[in-house]
Amino acid sequence: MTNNIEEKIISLVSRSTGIPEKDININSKSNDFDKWDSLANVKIILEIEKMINKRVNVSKMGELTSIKSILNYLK
Amino acid sequence: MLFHNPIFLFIFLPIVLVSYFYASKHFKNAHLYVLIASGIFFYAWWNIYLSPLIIVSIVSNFFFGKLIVNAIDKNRRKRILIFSIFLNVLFLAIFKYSDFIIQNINYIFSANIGMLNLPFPLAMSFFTFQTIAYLVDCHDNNIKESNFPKYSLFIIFFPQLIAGPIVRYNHMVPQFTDEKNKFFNYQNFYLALIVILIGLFKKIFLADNLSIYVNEGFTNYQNLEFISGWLTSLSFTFQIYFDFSGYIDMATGIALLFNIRLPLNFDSPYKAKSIINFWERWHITLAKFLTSYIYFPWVKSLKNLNFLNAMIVTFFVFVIAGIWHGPSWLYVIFGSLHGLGLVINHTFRKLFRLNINKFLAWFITFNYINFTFVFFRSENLTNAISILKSMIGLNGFYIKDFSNGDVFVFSILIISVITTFLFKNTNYLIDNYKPIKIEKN
Repeated sequence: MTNNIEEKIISLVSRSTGIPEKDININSKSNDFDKWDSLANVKIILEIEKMINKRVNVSKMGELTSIKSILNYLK
Repeated sequence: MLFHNPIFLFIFLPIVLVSYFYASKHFKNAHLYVLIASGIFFYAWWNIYLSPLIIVSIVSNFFFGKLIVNAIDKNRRKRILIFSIFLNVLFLAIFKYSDFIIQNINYIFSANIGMLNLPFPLAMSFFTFQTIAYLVDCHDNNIKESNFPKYSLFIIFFPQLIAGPIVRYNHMVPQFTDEKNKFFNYQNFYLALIVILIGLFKKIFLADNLSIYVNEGFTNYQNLEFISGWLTSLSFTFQIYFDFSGYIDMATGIALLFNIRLPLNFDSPYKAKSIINFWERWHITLAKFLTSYIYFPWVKSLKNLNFLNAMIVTFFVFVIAGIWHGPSWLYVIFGSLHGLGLVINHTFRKLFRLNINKFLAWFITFNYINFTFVFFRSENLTNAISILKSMIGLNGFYIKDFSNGDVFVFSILIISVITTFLFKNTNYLIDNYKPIKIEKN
Protein backbone atom coordinates (compact mmCIF):
# COMPACT_ATOMS: atom_id res chain seq x y z
CA MET A 1 0.00 0.00 0.00
CA THR A 2 2.73 2.44 1.10
CA ASN A 3 4.82 1.40 -1.89
CA ASN A 4 1.90 2.16 -4.13
CA ILE A 5 1.58 5.70 -2.76
CA GLU A 6 5.34 6.08 -2.92
CA GLU A 7 5.33 5.09 -6.59
CA LYS A 8 2.51 7.52 -7.29
CA ILE A 9 4.41 10.35 -5.61
CA ILE A 10 7.62 9.55 -7.48
CA SER A 11 5.68 9.51 -10.74
CA LEU A 12 3.98 12.81 -9.83
CA VAL A 13 7.32 14.46 -9.00
CA SER A 14 8.82 13.07 -12.20
CA ARG A 15 5.96 14.50 -14.31
CA SER A 16 6.18 17.92 -12.62
CA THR A 17 9.95 18.27 -12.72
CA GLY A 18 11.01 16.35 -15.80
CA ILE A 19 13.39 14.22 -13.73
CA PRO A 20 13.36 10.55 -14.88
CA GLU A 21 11.53 8.30 -12.39
CA LYS A 22 14.56 6.03 -12.09
CA ASP A 23 16.55 8.91 -10.60
CA ILE A 24 14.03 9.57 -7.82
CA ASN A 25 13.74 7.52 -4.63
CA ILE A 26 12.21 7.81 -1.17
CA ASN A 27 15.14 9.93 0.06
CA SER A 28 15.08 12.40 -2.84
CA LYS A 29 14.62 16.08 -2.07
CA SER A 30 14.49 19.29 -4.09
CA ASN A 31 18.09 20.28 -3.30
CA ASP A 32 19.32 17.09 -5.02
CA PHE A 33 18.13 18.20 -8.46
CA ASP A 34 18.48 21.40 -10.48
CA LYS A 35 15.17 20.60 -12.16
CA TRP A 36 13.26 20.42 -8.86
CA ASP A 37 13.16 24.20 -8.46
CA SER A 38 10.53 26.56 -7.06
CA LEU A 39 8.44 26.50 -10.27
CA ALA A 40 8.50 22.69 -10.33
CA ASN A 41 7.41 22.79 -6.71
CA VAL A 42 4.33 24.81 -7.64
CA LYS A 43 3.55 22.20 -10.31
CA ILE A 44 3.95 19.45 -7.68
CA ILE A 45 1.54 21.29 -5.37
CA LEU A 46 -1.02 21.63 -8.17
CA GLU A 47 -0.69 17.90 -8.98
CA ILE A 48 -1.15 16.99 -5.30
CA GLU A 49 -4.26 19.19 -5.18
CA LYS A 50 -5.64 17.34 -8.21
CA MET A 51 -4.83 14.00 -6.58
CA ILE A 52 -6.47 14.74 -3.21
CA ASN A 53 -9.16 16.99 -4.66
CA LYS A 54 -8.40 19.60 -2.01
CA ARG A 55 -6.31 22.77 -1.82
CA VAL A 56 -2.91 22.59 -0.16
CA ASN A 57 -2.72 25.14 2.65
CA VAL A 58 -0.27 28.03 2.22
CA SER A 59 1.57 27.08 5.42
CA LYS A 60 2.25 23.58 4.05
CA MET A 61 3.42 24.57 0.56
CA GLY A 62 6.99 25.33 1.59
CA GLU A 63 7.31 21.98 3.33
CA LEU A 64 6.61 19.80 0.29
CA THR A 65 10.18 19.70 -0.93
CA SER A 66 11.02 16.01 -0.58
CA ILE A 67 9.39 12.66 -1.32
CA LYS A 68 9.21 11.92 2.41
CA SER A 69 7.56 15.26 3.26
CA ILE A 70 4.97 14.75 0.49
CA LEU A 71 4.27 11.23 1.80
CA ASN A 72 3.90 12.59 5.34
CA TYR A 73 1.54 15.29 4.11
CA LEU A 74 -0.65 12.72 2.34
CA LYS A 75 -0.83 10.41 5.37
CA MET B 1 21.40 45.70 24.42
CA LEU B 2 23.36 43.70 21.85
CA PHE B 3 24.70 40.21 22.49
CA HIS B 4 28.34 41.30 22.53
CA ASN B 5 27.63 44.02 25.07
CA PRO B 6 29.35 43.12 28.41
CA ILE B 7 26.16 44.06 30.32
CA PHE B 8 24.30 41.43 28.31
CA LEU B 9 26.99 38.77 28.51
CA PHE B 10 28.07 39.14 32.11
CA ILE B 11 24.99 40.44 33.91
CA PHE B 12 21.73 39.95 31.99
CA LEU B 13 22.39 36.49 30.54
CA PRO B 14 23.70 34.81 33.74
CA ILE B 15 20.78 36.24 35.77
CA VAL B 16 18.21 35.00 33.23
CA LEU B 17 19.91 31.61 32.98
CA VAL B 18 19.99 31.02 36.73
CA SER B 19 16.39 32.29 37.12
CA TYR B 20 15.24 30.06 34.23
CA PHE B 21 16.60 26.82 35.65
CA TYR B 22 15.66 27.73 39.23
CA ALA B 23 12.09 28.55 38.16
CA SER B 24 11.74 25.44 36.01
CA LYS B 25 12.86 23.28 38.93
CA HIS B 26 10.55 24.78 41.51
CA PHE B 27 7.46 26.12 39.77
CA LYS B 28 5.41 24.69 36.93
CA ASN B 29 5.67 26.80 33.75
CA ALA B 30 7.46 29.59 35.63
CA HIS B 31 10.42 29.22 33.23
CA LEU B 32 8.16 30.50 30.44
CA TYR B 33 7.41 33.65 32.44
CA VAL B 34 11.11 34.15 33.16
CA LEU B 35 11.82 34.12 29.40
CA ILE B 36 8.84 36.42 28.66
CA ALA B 37 9.89 38.93 31.34
CA SER B 38 13.51 38.83 30.16
CA GLY B 39 12.35 39.35 26.55
CA ILE B 40 10.36 42.43 27.54
CA PHE B 41 13.28 43.77 29.59
CA PHE B 42 15.72 43.07 26.72
CA TYR B 43 13.45 44.92 24.27
CA ALA B 44 12.75 47.82 26.66
CA TRP B 45 16.49 48.30 27.22
CA TRP B 46 16.69 49.63 23.65
CA ASN B 47 13.84 52.16 24.11
CA ILE B 48 11.46 51.91 27.03
CA TYR B 49 8.95 54.33 25.46
CA LEU B 50 8.59 52.24 22.29
CA SER B 51 8.46 48.87 24.01
CA PRO B 52 4.65 49.02 24.48
CA LEU B 53 4.42 48.69 20.68
CA ILE B 54 5.60 45.08 20.68
CA ILE B 55 3.23 44.34 23.58
CA VAL B 56 0.31 45.86 21.63
CA SER B 57 1.35 43.76 18.63
CA ILE B 58 1.47 40.57 20.75
CA VAL B 59 -1.90 41.20 22.42
CA SER B 60 -3.73 42.19 19.23
CA ASN B 61 -2.30 39.38 17.10
CA PHE B 62 -3.03 36.76 19.75
CA PHE B 63 -6.60 38.08 19.71
CA PHE B 64 -6.71 37.88 15.88
CA GLY B 65 -5.33 34.35 16.02
CA LYS B 66 -8.11 33.33 18.42
CA LEU B 67 -10.73 34.98 16.20
CA ILE B 68 -9.42 33.05 13.18
CA VAL B 69 -9.32 29.71 15.02
CA ASN B 70 -12.81 30.19 16.48
CA ALA B 71 -14.46 31.34 13.26
CA ILE B 72 -16.57 28.47 11.92
CA ASP B 73 -17.38 30.04 8.57
CA LYS B 74 -14.50 29.58 6.08
CA ASN B 75 -14.98 32.96 4.42
CA ARG B 76 -15.04 34.74 7.76
CA ARG B 77 -11.76 33.02 8.71
CA LYS B 78 -10.21 34.21 5.48
CA ARG B 79 -11.51 37.76 5.93
CA ILE B 80 -10.08 38.00 9.45
CA LEU B 81 -6.77 36.58 8.22
CA ILE B 82 -6.52 39.10 5.38
CA PHE B 83 -7.52 41.99 7.66
CA SER B 84 -5.00 41.03 10.35
CA ILE B 85 -2.17 40.59 7.83
CA PHE B 86 -3.10 43.95 6.28
CA LEU B 87 -2.92 45.65 9.71
CA ASN B 88 0.50 44.13 10.42
CA VAL B 89 1.90 45.19 7.05
CA LEU B 90 0.33 48.65 7.47
CA PHE B 91 2.02 49.16 10.86
CA LEU B 92 5.35 48.04 9.41
CA ALA B 93 4.85 50.40 6.45
CA ILE B 94 3.93 53.35 8.69
CA PHE B 95 6.94 53.01 10.98
CA LYS B 96 9.50 51.87 8.44
CA TYR B 97 8.53 53.40 5.12
CA SER B 98 6.38 56.52 5.71
CA ASP B 99 9.27 59.01 5.31
CA PHE B 100 10.54 57.09 2.27
CA ILE B 101 7.09 57.29 0.66
CA ILE B 102 6.79 61.02 1.53
CA GLN B 103 10.26 61.70 0.05
CA ASN B 104 9.25 60.03 -3.21
CA ILE B 105 5.90 61.84 -3.38
CA ASN B 106 7.71 65.14 -2.76
CA TYR B 107 10.20 64.34 -5.53
CA ILE B 108 7.66 63.16 -8.12
CA PHE B 109 5.02 65.84 -7.54
CA SER B 110 7.39 68.62 -6.41
CA ALA B 111 5.40 68.68 -3.17
CA ASN B 112 6.64 69.75 0.22
CA ILE B 113 5.10 67.31 2.68
CA GLY B 114 6.93 67.29 6.01
CA MET B 115 8.68 64.14 7.21
CA LEU B 116 7.11 62.24 10.10
CA ASN B 117 10.49 61.20 11.52
CA LEU B 118 8.93 58.24 13.30
CA PRO B 119 11.37 56.06 15.22
CA PHE B 120 11.62 52.54 13.84
CA PRO B 121 10.72 49.96 16.48
CA LEU B 122 13.52 47.46 16.91
CA ALA B 123 12.96 44.04 15.30
CA MET B 124 9.63 45.06 13.76
CA SER B 125 10.52 43.58 10.33
CA PHE B 126 11.27 40.23 11.95
CA PHE B 127 8.34 39.96 14.34
CA THR B 128 5.92 41.14 11.62
CA PHE B 129 6.93 38.20 9.39
CA GLN B 130 6.77 35.79 12.32
CA THR B 131 3.32 37.08 13.22
CA ILE B 132 2.07 36.69 9.64
CA ALA B 133 3.30 33.08 9.59
CA TYR B 134 1.47 32.46 12.91
CA LEU B 135 -1.79 33.95 11.61
CA VAL B 136 -1.59 31.80 8.46
CA ASP B 137 -0.91 28.76 10.67
CA CYS B 138 -4.03 29.64 12.71
CA HIS B 139 -6.03 29.86 9.48
CA ASP B 140 -4.69 26.51 8.25
CA ASN B 141 -5.44 24.75 11.56
CA ASN B 142 -1.77 24.06 12.22
CA ILE B 143 -1.82 25.47 15.74
CA LYS B 144 -2.91 22.67 18.01
CA GLU B 145 -2.42 24.38 21.29
CA SER B 146 -2.00 28.08 21.90
CA ASN B 147 -2.33 30.28 24.94
CA PHE B 148 -1.22 33.81 25.65
CA PRO B 149 2.06 33.03 27.49
CA LYS B 150 3.20 30.59 24.81
CA TYR B 151 2.35 32.97 21.98
CA SER B 152 4.02 35.88 23.80
CA LEU B 153 7.19 33.88 24.27
CA PHE B 154 7.16 32.80 20.62
CA ILE B 155 7.34 36.48 19.62
CA ILE B 156 9.53 37.89 22.38
CA PHE B 157 12.07 35.08 22.90
CA PHE B 158 15.11 37.36 23.23
CA PRO B 159 17.84 35.26 21.52
CA GLN B 160 16.16 35.56 18.11
CA LEU B 161 14.09 38.71 18.71
CA ILE B 162 16.13 41.40 16.99
CA ALA B 163 17.96 39.71 14.12
CA GLY B 164 16.18 36.43 13.52
CA PRO B 165 16.18 33.71 12.42
CA ILE B 166 12.50 33.98 11.50
CA VAL B 167 10.92 31.07 13.35
CA ARG B 168 7.61 29.19 13.13
CA TYR B 169 5.29 28.67 16.09
CA ASN B 170 5.28 24.89 15.76
CA HIS B 171 9.07 24.78 15.71
CA MET B 172 9.50 26.84 18.88
CA VAL B 173 6.60 26.26 21.27
CA PRO B 174 6.97 22.47 21.61
CA GLN B 175 10.59 23.13 22.60
CA PHE B 176 9.55 25.71 25.22
CA THR B 177 7.19 23.22 26.84
CA ASP B 178 9.30 20.07 26.46
CA GLU B 179 9.97 18.67 29.95
CA LYS B 180 13.52 17.65 28.97
CA ASN B 181 14.40 21.25 28.10
CA LYS B 182 13.60 22.50 31.59
CA PHE B 183 16.73 21.00 33.06
CA PHE B 184 20.29 22.19 32.78
CA ASN B 185 22.12 20.24 30.08
CA TYR B 186 25.91 20.22 30.35
CA GLN B 187 26.42 19.08 26.76
CA ASN B 188 24.24 21.88 25.39
CA PHE B 189 25.92 24.35 27.74
CA TYR B 190 29.46 23.60 26.53
CA LEU B 191 28.37 23.51 22.91
CA ALA B 192 26.50 26.79 23.36
CA LEU B 193 29.60 28.46 24.80
CA ILE B 194 31.67 27.32 21.80
CA VAL B 195 29.03 28.61 19.36
CA ILE B 196 28.76 31.94 21.21
CA LEU B 197 32.56 32.31 21.13
CA ILE B 198 32.60 31.60 17.38
CA GLY B 199 29.89 34.25 16.96
CA LEU B 200 31.84 36.76 19.05
CA PHE B 201 34.99 36.06 17.00
CA LYS B 202 33.10 36.61 13.74
CA LYS B 203 31.40 39.77 15.00
CA ILE B 204 34.08 41.49 17.07
CA PHE B 205 37.32 40.35 15.49
CA LEU B 206 36.37 39.98 11.84
CA ALA B 207 33.27 42.11 11.12
CA ASP B 208 34.08 45.05 13.39
CA ASN B 209 37.68 45.31 12.15
CA LEU B 210 36.62 45.06 8.51
CA SER B 211 33.98 47.73 9.13
CA ILE B 212 36.69 50.33 9.85
CA TYR B 213 38.13 49.89 6.37
CA VAL B 214 34.68 49.60 4.82
CA ASN B 215 33.48 52.85 6.41
CA GLU B 216 36.59 54.66 5.24
CA GLY B 217 36.26 53.29 1.70
CA PHE B 218 32.56 54.02 1.31
CA THR B 219 32.98 57.53 2.79
CA ASN B 220 35.99 58.49 0.65
CA TYR B 221 34.79 56.65 -2.44
CA GLN B 222 36.21 59.32 -4.76
CA ASN B 223 39.74 58.32 -3.75
CA LEU B 224 39.36 54.62 -4.50
CA GLU B 225 41.33 53.08 -7.35
CA PHE B 226 41.36 49.48 -8.61
CA ILE B 227 42.93 47.70 -5.63
CA SER B 228 41.38 49.80 -2.86
CA GLY B 229 38.02 49.57 -4.67
CA TRP B 230 38.19 45.77 -4.60
CA LEU B 231 39.48 45.71 -1.02
CA THR B 232 36.60 47.95 0.07
CA SER B 233 33.88 45.92 -1.65
CA LEU B 234 35.33 42.55 -0.59
CA SER B 235 35.76 43.81 2.96
CA PHE B 236 32.07 44.72 3.07
CA THR B 237 31.00 41.40 1.55
CA PHE B 238 32.84 39.59 4.34
CA GLN B 239 31.86 42.15 6.98
CA ILE B 240 28.13 41.74 6.37
CA TYR B 241 28.43 37.95 6.39
CA PHE B 242 30.39 37.82 9.65
CA ASP B 243 28.25 40.51 11.21
CA PHE B 244 24.98 38.76 10.43
CA SER B 245 26.07 35.12 10.71
CA GLY B 246 28.13 35.95 13.83
CA TYR B 247 25.05 37.44 15.43
CA ILE B 248 22.99 34.42 14.39
CA ASP B 249 25.68 32.13 15.88
CA MET B 250 25.42 34.04 19.15
CA ALA B 251 21.61 33.78 18.99
CA THR B 252 21.88 30.04 18.31
CA GLY B 253 24.31 29.57 21.19
CA ILE B 254 22.27 31.67 23.63
CA ALA B 255 19.08 29.77 22.73
CA LEU B 256 20.98 26.50 23.20
CA LEU B 257 21.83 27.54 26.78
CA PHE B 258 18.07 27.21 27.36
CA ASN B 259 18.08 23.89 25.41
CA ILE B 260 16.30 25.51 22.45
CA ARG B 261 17.47 24.76 18.87
CA LEU B 262 16.98 27.63 16.40
CA PRO B 263 16.62 26.80 12.72
CA LEU B 264 19.59 27.04 10.38
CA ASN B 265 19.93 30.52 8.84
CA PHE B 266 23.35 30.45 7.12
CA ASP B 267 24.83 27.42 5.42
CA SER B 268 28.22 28.64 4.14
CA PRO B 269 26.53 30.94 1.58
CA TYR B 270 29.76 32.15 -0.05
CA LYS B 271 30.49 28.58 -1.14
CA ALA B 272 27.39 28.75 -3.38
CA LYS B 273 27.87 27.82 -7.02
CA SER B 274 24.83 29.68 -8.34
CA ILE B 275 22.48 32.46 -7.24
CA ILE B 276 19.72 29.88 -6.71
CA ASN B 277 22.12 27.97 -4.46
CA PHE B 278 23.12 31.21 -2.69
CA TRP B 279 19.51 31.82 -1.61
CA GLU B 280 19.32 28.24 -0.33
CA ARG B 281 22.22 29.14 1.97
CA TRP B 282 21.90 32.87 2.85
CA HIS B 283 19.30 34.08 5.39
CA ILE B 284 17.51 30.76 4.84
CA THR B 285 14.54 31.53 7.08
CA LEU B 286 13.80 34.77 5.17
CA ALA B 287 14.08 32.97 1.82
CA LYS B 288 11.76 30.22 3.08
CA PHE B 289 9.26 32.79 4.32
CA LEU B 290 9.25 34.63 0.99
CA THR B 291 8.90 31.37 -0.96
CA SER B 292 6.15 29.91 1.22
CA TYR B 293 4.05 32.98 1.94
CA ILE B 294 4.53 35.15 -1.16
CA TYR B 295 6.00 33.19 -4.09
CA PHE B 296 3.93 29.98 -3.91
CA PRO B 297 0.50 31.62 -3.37
CA TRP B 298 1.31 34.24 -6.04
CA VAL B 299 2.47 31.75 -8.71
CA LYS B 300 -0.37 29.36 -7.85
CA SER B 301 -2.90 32.13 -8.33
CA LEU B 302 -1.72 32.77 -11.91
CA LYS B 303 -4.25 31.78 -14.55
CA ASN B 304 -1.46 30.94 -16.94
CA LEU B 305 1.26 29.08 -15.06
CA ASN B 306 4.32 29.13 -17.26
CA PHE B 307 8.03 29.74 -16.96
CA LEU B 308 7.90 33.41 -17.98
CA ASN B 309 5.19 34.29 -15.45
CA ALA B 310 6.99 32.40 -12.70
CA MET B 311 10.18 34.34 -13.47
CA ILE B 312 8.31 37.66 -13.32
CA VAL B 313 6.97 36.69 -9.88
CA THR B 314 10.48 35.59 -8.79
CA PHE B 315 11.84 38.99 -9.78
CA PHE B 316 9.19 40.92 -7.86
CA VAL B 317 9.45 38.70 -4.78
CA PHE B 318 13.11 39.72 -4.62
CA VAL B 319 12.23 43.37 -5.10
CA ILE B 320 10.07 42.91 -1.96
CA ALA B 321 13.01 41.15 -0.25
CA GLY B 322 15.17 44.17 -1.11
CA ILE B 323 12.78 46.78 0.28
CA TRP B 324 12.25 44.62 3.40
CA HIS B 325 15.87 45.35 4.29
CA GLY B 326 15.18 49.08 4.55
CA PRO B 327 13.52 52.18 3.12
CA SER B 328 15.96 52.97 0.30
CA TRP B 329 16.07 52.64 -3.48
CA LEU B 330 19.51 51.06 -3.09
CA TYR B 331 17.89 48.12 -1.28
CA VAL B 332 15.38 47.93 -4.13
CA ILE B 333 18.32 47.78 -6.58
CA PHE B 334 19.97 45.11 -4.42
CA GLY B 335 16.79 43.01 -4.40
CA SER B 336 16.22 43.57 -8.13
CA LEU B 337 19.76 42.47 -8.96
CA HIS B 338 19.24 39.26 -6.99
CA GLY B 339 15.86 38.77 -8.67
CA LEU B 340 17.52 39.29 -12.05
CA GLY B 341 20.35 36.91 -11.10
CA LEU B 342 17.80 34.24 -10.20
CA VAL B 343 15.89 34.74 -13.46
CA ILE B 344 19.12 34.42 -15.47
CA ASN B 345 20.12 31.36 -13.43
CA HIS B 346 16.73 29.66 -13.97
CA THR B 347 16.75 30.54 -17.68
CA PHE B 348 20.21 29.06 -18.17
CA ARG B 349 19.15 25.88 -16.37
CA LYS B 350 16.08 25.58 -18.56
CA LEU B 351 17.53 26.47 -21.95
CA PHE B 352 21.14 25.38 -21.81
CA ARG B 353 22.43 22.26 -20.22
CA LEU B 354 25.83 23.72 -19.63
CA ASN B 355 28.19 21.83 -17.44
CA ILE B 356 30.12 24.75 -16.05
CA ASN B 357 33.33 24.09 -14.20
CA LYS B 358 32.57 24.20 -10.43
CA PHE B 359 35.28 26.75 -9.69
CA LEU B 360 34.11 29.00 -12.52
CA ALA B 361 30.49 28.70 -11.31
CA TRP B 362 31.58 29.66 -7.79
CA PHE B 363 33.75 32.52 -9.10
CA ILE B 364 30.91 34.04 -11.14
CA THR B 365 28.43 33.65 -8.25
CA PHE B 366 30.72 35.13 -5.62
CA ASN B 367 31.64 38.12 -7.75
CA TYR B 368 28.02 38.78 -8.64
CA ILE B 369 27.12 38.75 -4.93
CA ASN B 370 30.07 41.03 -4.19
CA PHE B 371 28.86 43.42 -6.92
CA THR B 372 25.29 43.53 -5.49
CA PHE B 373 26.56 44.23 -1.97
CA VAL B 374 28.13 47.49 -3.22
CA PHE B 375 24.56 48.77 -3.68
CA PHE B 376 23.52 47.36 -0.31
CA ARG B 377 26.20 49.32 1.57
CA SER B 378 26.41 52.55 -0.45
CA GLU B 379 24.88 55.79 0.81
CA ASN B 380 23.63 56.74 -2.65
CA LEU B 381 23.79 55.70 -6.29
CA THR B 382 26.73 58.03 -7.08
CA ASN B 383 28.72 56.37 -4.32
CA ALA B 384 27.89 52.87 -5.64
CA ILE B 385 28.69 53.70 -9.26
CA SER B 386 31.98 55.34 -8.29
CA ILE B 387 33.08 52.22 -6.36
CA LEU B 388 32.07 49.96 -9.25
CA LYS B 389 34.04 52.21 -11.64
CA SER B 390 37.11 51.90 -9.46
CA MET B 391 36.67 48.10 -9.43
CA ILE B 392 36.80 47.93 -13.22
CA GLY B 393 39.83 50.18 -13.32
CA LEU B 394 38.20 53.40 -14.52
CA ASN B 395 39.68 55.31 -11.56
CA GLY B 396 43.23 54.09 -12.14
CA PHE B 397 45.31 51.01 -11.39
CA TYR B 398 48.11 52.49 -9.31
CA ILE B 399 49.17 50.65 -6.20
CA LYS B 400 49.29 53.05 -3.31
CA ASP B 401 51.75 52.72 -0.44
CA PHE B 402 50.35 50.27 2.02
CA SER B 403 50.12 51.71 5.50
CA ASN B 404 50.07 49.60 8.66
CA GLY B 405 46.30 49.95 8.69
CA ASP B 406 46.03 48.51 5.17
CA VAL B 407 48.26 45.56 6.07
CA PHE B 408 46.07 44.91 9.13
CA VAL B 409 42.87 44.95 7.06
CA PHE B 410 44.49 42.77 4.42
CA SER B 411 45.41 40.26 7.15
CA ILE B 412 41.83 40.29 8.49
CA LEU B 413 40.57 39.75 4.96
CA ILE B 414 42.84 36.71 4.55
CA ILE B 415 41.61 35.29 7.90
CA SER B 416 38.05 35.96 6.67
CA VAL B 417 38.69 34.03 3.46
CA ILE B 418 40.20 31.11 5.38
CA THR B 419 37.32 31.09 7.91
CA THR B 420 34.71 31.24 5.16
CA PHE B 421 36.08 28.72 2.71
CA LEU B 422 38.17 26.25 4.69
CA PHE B 423 36.01 25.68 7.76
CA LYS B 424 32.68 23.94 8.21
CA ASN B 425 29.87 26.14 9.53
CA THR B 426 28.52 26.34 13.07
CA ASN B 427 25.49 24.22 12.29
CA TYR B 428 27.76 21.35 11.26
CA LEU B 429 29.51 21.69 14.61
CA ILE B 430 26.18 21.51 16.51
CA ASP B 431 24.91 18.53 14.51
CA ASN B 432 28.13 16.57 14.83
CA TYR B 433 29.20 17.52 18.35
CA LYS B 434 30.28 14.53 20.38
CA PRO B 435 31.47 15.21 23.92
CA ILE B 436 34.85 13.74 24.77
CA LYS B 437 34.51 10.95 27.28
CA ILE B 438 37.27 10.95 29.87
CA GLU B 439 38.15 7.40 30.74
CA LYS B 440 39.02 6.73 34.34
CA ASN B 441 42.07 4.59 34.89
